[in-house]
Amino acid sequence: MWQALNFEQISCRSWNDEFFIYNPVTGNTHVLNELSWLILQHLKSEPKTVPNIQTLLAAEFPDSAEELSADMLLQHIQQMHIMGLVKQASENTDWLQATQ
Amino acid sequence: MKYRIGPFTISLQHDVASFQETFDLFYADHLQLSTEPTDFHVRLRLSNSLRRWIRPKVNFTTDSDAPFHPFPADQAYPLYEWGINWCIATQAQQHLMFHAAVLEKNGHAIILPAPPGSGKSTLCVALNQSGWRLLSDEFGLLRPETGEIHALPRPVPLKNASIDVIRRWAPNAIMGPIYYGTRKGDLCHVKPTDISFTQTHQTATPRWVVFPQYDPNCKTALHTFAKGRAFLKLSGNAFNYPLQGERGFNAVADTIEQSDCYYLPFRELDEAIQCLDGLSKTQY
Repeated sequence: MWQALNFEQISCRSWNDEFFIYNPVTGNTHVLNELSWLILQHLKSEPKTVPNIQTLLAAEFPDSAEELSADMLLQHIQQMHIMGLVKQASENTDWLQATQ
Repeated sequence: MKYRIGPFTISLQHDVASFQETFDLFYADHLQLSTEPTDFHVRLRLSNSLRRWIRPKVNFTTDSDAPFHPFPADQAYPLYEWGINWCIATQAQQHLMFHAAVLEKNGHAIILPAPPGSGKSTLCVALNQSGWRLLSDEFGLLRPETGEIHALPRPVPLKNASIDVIRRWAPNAIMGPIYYGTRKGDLCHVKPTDISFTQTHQTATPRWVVFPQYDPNCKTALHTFAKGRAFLKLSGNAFNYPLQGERGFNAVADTIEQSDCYYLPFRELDEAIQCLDGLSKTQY
């Protein structure tokens, strides 16, 4: 299960389908593509599994459903995990404070 | 001597005779003496004892800091300007500071962020001599609260081959002495035009962000630069972006949002100026 971390605190600007994120917890600035941003949006309210997200995105974008593989979605989530934007639902995130 | 340059009040003491003549060349006719609280206490002092007569050295100190090794005494003026750069970069955190030239025309500011070697300073001098008001060659001082850029008109340092380029291109420009063999090569400062000083108090709203690059083999042209990429380049260019936190992120994003962004490879100064003058004529 994955969950967005401090979503309500991040600042976001968007140009040309790219999303530029400032995370005040880490002090870092990141660039997300549209798919990562959509995934993050789905993780902001409650923890979800990769299959959950896959189902939700397939419903939103039926023409692209076949391309939204679980492996690809997990790869995007893991990249955001490294950025400190998501966590596993049971994860202790104290390590993030040390990166500030 | 206590005076104001842009938004800063500087208190200067020195004992280097050659320094005053060059300082006066650039600042005397527009010097604003000040009684306001001092931002930077600066001292230029010749080294003590035998060093005063044998290959004399000069020291730059500010309050309790001596940020540089002693310089040859005949390089006191460049040392002063580098020292002021250091003071601003380390202390003026009320501003988001771009490593950029910034000029203004018709009320709109053009930000020219660029690393060393891109031709930024040469282009900056040429634009200033062509009628653009100089806000700064080194520090684009943006106040996050207002989104406005504050003027800091100071002599523009030209290095090595750029010195002769400007001597030929703008023979009426007021240029100081050439300092040979400094740590950045041969160095010569150019005085900004009078309007750059007389309108110091006027801030400017960013309207264009242009990334210049001198290339003798290119075709000079403005190329539209994607805003997302421009955001990354400009935020990476800002000296103190990490310190500014969220307000710095929003300040850069707002600047990009309201600006047209370009990449400008240029071969000749006249061609670059023609491109940028064309921007300034656009109706908004």
